[in-house]
Amino acid sequence: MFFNSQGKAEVTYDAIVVGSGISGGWAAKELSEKGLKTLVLERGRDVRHGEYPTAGNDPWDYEAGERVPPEEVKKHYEKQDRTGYTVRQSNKHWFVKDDEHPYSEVKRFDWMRGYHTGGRSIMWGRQSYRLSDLDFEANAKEGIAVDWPIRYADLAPWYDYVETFAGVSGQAEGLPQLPDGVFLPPMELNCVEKELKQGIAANFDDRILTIGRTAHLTEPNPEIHGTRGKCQFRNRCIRGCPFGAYFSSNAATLPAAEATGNMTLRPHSVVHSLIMDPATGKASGVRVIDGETGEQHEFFAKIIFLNASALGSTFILMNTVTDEFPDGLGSSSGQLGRNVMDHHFKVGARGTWDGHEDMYYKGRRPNGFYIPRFRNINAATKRDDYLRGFGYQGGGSRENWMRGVKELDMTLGAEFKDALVQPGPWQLGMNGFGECLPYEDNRVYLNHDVKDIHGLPTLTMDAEFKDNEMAMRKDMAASAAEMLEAAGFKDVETYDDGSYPGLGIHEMGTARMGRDRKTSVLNKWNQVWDAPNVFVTDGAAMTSAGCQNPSLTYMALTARAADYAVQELKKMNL
Amino acid sequence: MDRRDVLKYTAYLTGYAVTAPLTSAILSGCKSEPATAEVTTKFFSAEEFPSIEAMINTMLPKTDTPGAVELGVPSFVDIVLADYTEEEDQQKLQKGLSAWLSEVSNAKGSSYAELSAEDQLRLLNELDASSKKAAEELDDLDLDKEEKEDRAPWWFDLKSMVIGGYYSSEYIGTEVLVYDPVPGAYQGCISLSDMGGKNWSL
Repeated sequence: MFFNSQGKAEVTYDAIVVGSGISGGWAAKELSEKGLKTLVLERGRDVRHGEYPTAGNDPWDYEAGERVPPEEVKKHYEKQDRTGYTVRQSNKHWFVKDDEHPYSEVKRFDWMRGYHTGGRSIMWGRQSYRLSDLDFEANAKEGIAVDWPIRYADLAPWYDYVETFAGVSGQAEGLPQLPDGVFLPPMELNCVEKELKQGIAANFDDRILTIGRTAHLTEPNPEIHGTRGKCQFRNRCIRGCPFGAYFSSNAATLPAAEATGNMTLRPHSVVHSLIMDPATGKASGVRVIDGETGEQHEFFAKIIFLNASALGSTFILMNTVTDEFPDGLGSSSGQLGRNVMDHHFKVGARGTWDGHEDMYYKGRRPNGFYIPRFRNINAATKRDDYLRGFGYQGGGSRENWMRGVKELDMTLGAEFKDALVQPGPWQLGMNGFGECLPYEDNRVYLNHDVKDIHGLPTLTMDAEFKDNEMAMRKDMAASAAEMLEAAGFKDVETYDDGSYPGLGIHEMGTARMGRDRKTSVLNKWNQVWDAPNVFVTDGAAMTSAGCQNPSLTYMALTARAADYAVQELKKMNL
Repeated sequence: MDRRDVLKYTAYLTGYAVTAPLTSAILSGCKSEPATAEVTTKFFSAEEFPSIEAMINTMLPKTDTPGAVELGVPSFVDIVLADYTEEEDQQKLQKGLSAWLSEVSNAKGSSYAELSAEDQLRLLNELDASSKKAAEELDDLDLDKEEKEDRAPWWFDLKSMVIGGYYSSEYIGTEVLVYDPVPGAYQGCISLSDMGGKNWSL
């Protein structure tokens, strides 16, 4: 089965990193900068920074705008299309073809994936928020699931570290539930967002509106950020940024890793499983299927970082079947694949603003405003109807010509045509992102009946949002409307468009960290309890979800674990 | 920023070569395509296409800026409907459109294309007004989202393709609206008249 065409020495490294996305890029950078010969395995094709073929396209460069033919969507992108924004002419090449990489759903689960160098760090939303002790202590205080084995103090220096290198633009606000970070200059709010900010400040003691914290260079420092450029406010980030202005593996961590001379990146390398050494109880390497040739290879290393995305890393653990662990490495606790979480969203409110007709904005800001969590943060904000809380992301803008379809109260013809050249009324919307609790029966498991194009088994998803999330959603809609009305917005209406796990693209929790090997998969250093030289530092590690966008936390966990791993290697402990 | 400086500026900032599509898109100027007399259609029948063109012309006529027909919007709509629209939506639009066009020709004794400009405008405005009314009535009904979409007036599907196609065309996008492919900075609250008093095209 798996063979080596080369001698073992030639396929042996100090470290193997599986995945080149947002956390894998960090593992690659940290391990190779600390002197480890590091092999990075990327399952998809290689994408070098700058290879963003649609980055400069305008709508008229396509014969039918951004539309994709329905036959193509049906054949390849039936699930990837569920977001409504991923399968477009300008960015569909960053998303997997569902027919090649299937999964099964006991309950609806929207799994959005990109298999190429950089993974979803190319298409991510870039919102970057710290968790706080409100989040790290929640499970223990409420008796939910298990306690996080770390606290904010453990991660704070690593947040500083990754924010400095990644570059996060934002405004310090001094909130205990949303700690400030190392910020580059904040982006500006527009006229109606400023109205809302003032309206909230005047009417609510416990709430604030701030500009989104986003991983964009608003003031690059060449000594830290190298050749990455300043944000140009094109807002075409999802296509890849030729300026390297937002953080991605391709623009930031992988070039840094490459510069050390210690990194080898191998694309088209689909990891089948880990190779376990029964004598030591550790992993000695990985089995890889070449995505182009179908050939099978083995690679060896002293330590292995799994950064294949939450469900991807979980899959690799589950597919690492040994006599000792028939349900996969890390399954001894019974928690592997369980507690899958995502943020629930697509609920909030919108309204219009009368006035500021003579005002506009310049530039397409790739960011919105943020209203940090204000529920269940202390005795005064305690809710009886649900645990945890939510934050809002939103934005204001002036309507464009599309208001001519239904809203504009004008008859058709010459005046109608000219009226639509001018910007329309101001509108503003806000969308809640709510925390989902870890439920043991929300799970994923291997499916040997459905195989992917490489002949590997696939995953079956069986997860749902439950009563706590549904109760929270009512408040997410009502509180949004309450703030808009208090701030003087008109025609305020709430919405709840429904939300299914996966669509937040923050899936996490299937190999959680914990204090006890009986109830968790990873320890406080992200080591698999069952094999201490295997580290999992992507979303799989999350013990609870918070309501904050999680990528920054994955970066910090990865840098922290890599530092620990190298120290332990030096002490000959791994 | 001067568009001609984009190339230099981008390379300076990133240290990487700019991708070809970016430069071509940024540096491409106006290359409006003249409307052709002989159009081959993929979705609309040869018989109904002149009436489609007339409807689009009525909605967005030539003024001191080009009209929608001049900018090829009828062919754009034809392609969108033929190759980029789900069968169910194609059928709904075709059914509604054919019924309306026959209603017009039955009442008037000639096709929409052959009517006077006044009649064309009046009839299209009537269609628009009755569709708006139907949409409002639909909003008040207690139906799920999908059912509402199914029952939404067909006219707005066509109207939306026409408006989207026209204002997102290269000519309108670069010559009429304000085109700013690489803004370079963001100003959140500035005078509209200083920005030319028009929509940004992107």
